[in-house]
Amino acid sequence: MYSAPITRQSKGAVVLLIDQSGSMAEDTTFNGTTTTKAAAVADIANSLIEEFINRSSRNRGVADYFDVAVIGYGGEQAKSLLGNRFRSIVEIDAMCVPTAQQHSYHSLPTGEKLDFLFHRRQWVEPVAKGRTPMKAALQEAHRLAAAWCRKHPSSFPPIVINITDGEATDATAEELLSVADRLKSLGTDDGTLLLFNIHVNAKPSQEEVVVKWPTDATTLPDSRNARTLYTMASSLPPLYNTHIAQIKGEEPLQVYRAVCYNSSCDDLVGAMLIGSLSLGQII
Amino acid sequence: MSDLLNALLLHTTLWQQGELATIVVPDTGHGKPTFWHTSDGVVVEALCGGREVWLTLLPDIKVAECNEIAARIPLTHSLEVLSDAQFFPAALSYNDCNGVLHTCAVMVQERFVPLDSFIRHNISARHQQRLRNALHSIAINSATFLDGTLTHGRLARGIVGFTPEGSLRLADYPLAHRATNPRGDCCSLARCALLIFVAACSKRAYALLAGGALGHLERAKVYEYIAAAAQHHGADGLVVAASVCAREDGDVESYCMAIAGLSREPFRPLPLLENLLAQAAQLGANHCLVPVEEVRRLVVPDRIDLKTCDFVGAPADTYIRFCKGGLWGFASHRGDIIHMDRPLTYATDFYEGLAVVRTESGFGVVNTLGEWVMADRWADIVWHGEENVIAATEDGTTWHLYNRMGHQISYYATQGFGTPSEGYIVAQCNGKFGYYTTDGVKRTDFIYEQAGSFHGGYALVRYNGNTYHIDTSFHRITSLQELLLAEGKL
Repeated sequence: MYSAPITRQSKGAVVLLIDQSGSMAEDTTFNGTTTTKAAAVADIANSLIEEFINRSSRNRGVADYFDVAVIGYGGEQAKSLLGNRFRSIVEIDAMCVPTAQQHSYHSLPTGEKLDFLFHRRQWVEPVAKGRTPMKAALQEAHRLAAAWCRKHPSSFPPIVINITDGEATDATAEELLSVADRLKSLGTDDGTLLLFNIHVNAKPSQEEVVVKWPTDATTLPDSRNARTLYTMASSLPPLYNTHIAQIKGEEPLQVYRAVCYNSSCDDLVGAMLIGSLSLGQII
Repeated sequence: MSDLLNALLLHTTLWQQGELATIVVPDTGHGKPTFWHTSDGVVVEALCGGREVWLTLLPDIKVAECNEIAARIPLTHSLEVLSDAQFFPAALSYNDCNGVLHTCAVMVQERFVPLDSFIRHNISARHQQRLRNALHSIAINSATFLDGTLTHGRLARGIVGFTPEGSLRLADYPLAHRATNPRGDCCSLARCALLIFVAACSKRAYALLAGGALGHLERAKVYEYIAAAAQHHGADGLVVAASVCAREDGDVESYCMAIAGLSREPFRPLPLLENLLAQAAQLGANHCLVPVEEVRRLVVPDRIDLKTCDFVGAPADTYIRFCKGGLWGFASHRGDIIHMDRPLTYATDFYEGLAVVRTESGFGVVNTLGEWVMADRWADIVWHGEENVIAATEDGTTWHLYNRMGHQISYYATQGFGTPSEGYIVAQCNGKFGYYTTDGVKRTDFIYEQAGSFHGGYALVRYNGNTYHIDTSFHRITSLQELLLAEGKL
């Protein structure tokens, strides 16, 4: 289970669900600069797509190892941002998308500060408008993932990473759990779909509990949203244990839950890398 | 005592129920083993059958007492909580410095981690699961006190310990029974459980409770503060446990139920408890904190029964707007009120985390934590949640646009704004109309006699008496109908 390697014959699939509701316009700190949550999350999503392209790059160009879908949800609907289906990583690399100039700040061992300017392609634009139709996003993810699983029965099951800063406004907690359960019931011969929930907080205060990859619900803050996101998320297979245990400084003997709560945008980067861990086993 | 310890440096064998157990007492390299004194005797670290044990040498126990204790042997080893203690009367013979032969009773018990060491280790390693295991173990074993299977008689914080995984161990059982005291034993266990729970929730609060900083306060007062803070935090199990632990004369059942409640209570941050205890530690013995009743009144969050309200709105962003007695507020689905620092004379629904409210001072914008994003000093505010922009006027005549953080984003003042749509908002100045973006950028001068909102990328305007449509580049569309037909939208 959860051991199928990523090959050109049995590709990997990842779905990013990105909260694009109005509250994502709040300021946060990311990479040492002040920006909006929407801009930070879009930047992280774009860098993850670049990472997939890099993982797929071979001598003769980008090879077809991954299928990627990005669904943004804000206002009254959820919308696929790369077209109404999965896109292969080759198609994504070939897309004509705008580029944005970005700064990356580093401190050298000498103490000198370095401002490195680079261009990043913008498949995902920062949007922050309207309410939070998370249920619609999960339903859209179900539609895409169900078709993908039928076509790739022997592949590693799809990874769905949901990034949000608030509660769903188009469903009760019970409805969300029901939709999430339907989504997690999809899968391939190698296992069921893995749903990651990552909650970002613009400026977590000292009083707010930051939870990363918990093993049980007792460590969650007293929040209905935290409990809902926890219950929606998948229990992670042993594949992830070593890396998560390393982050948490403990023995890799536990079963972790695919949820982070009150993460900063800087933490989101690490969470996304953990989420895409299984897609690094490329042959 | 040194003769006795010297005797232990030899390999010693003890006979118990037909089994030989070899005791090995390793020395520390300085010619003596690791040992310390207690009220009963000397405790020495040793190995018994390869297991780490404590030998308690009891030279002062009288013969009659030895026999009484020995009569209770063998212990019921099915009770693993008793740290597998075994008592050997007159087991150790040694010669003192004058060559006189003495015998000494020895108690052997499994080594475990004392309570405070166990807590400190598992706080620092963030092994909350082990702390949870410890609470469960106390809850299970407290039942043995309830049904009288076990009485210890001298259970105290120093007696309680745990295995590394969190299984309860109680030391010195053979030396207990000097006075049967199940109530005292259970009270001690409940207080230990409360300490573990607080430590799991708040390292700082545990340090204040366990470190002696509150020694000047009466114990009952400390527990009352814990109960009051726990009520604020909604930790019902902790409220019950603290209330019960405050009393020395509770019954065994109530202590056991309190322990069971704590074992089920989720861990959670306790910032109010930290602040209360820190304040108490700083004030010292010469000052008094606010009375507990005052704490309850100040910090207990009001809960409201929505059925008693004059008006109850539909849930918006999971919060419910209500009005009672002319005052407005917001409550969660459980009825917990969002605390506001001043009474609201009106409130609108939350949208994406913000709501416009009014006080006696004016209009303002609050978030779901009750914090003011825009202070209540405005003559009017409109929160256009769908377009993420706020329009506000301080004097009632000049308006500006603000973002959701409450920062002004428009440079030129206007005399009013319309409803934003598709990223644009109509603005009015001196009887004419123009357009701003919802980012606060002025896109046109105030040239239109009338201007409508954008729909589908087009807006209806009147200019110089002529009415026509414009697109988002503000170019005139000759015939919108023909254009829509050409685009296939009609």
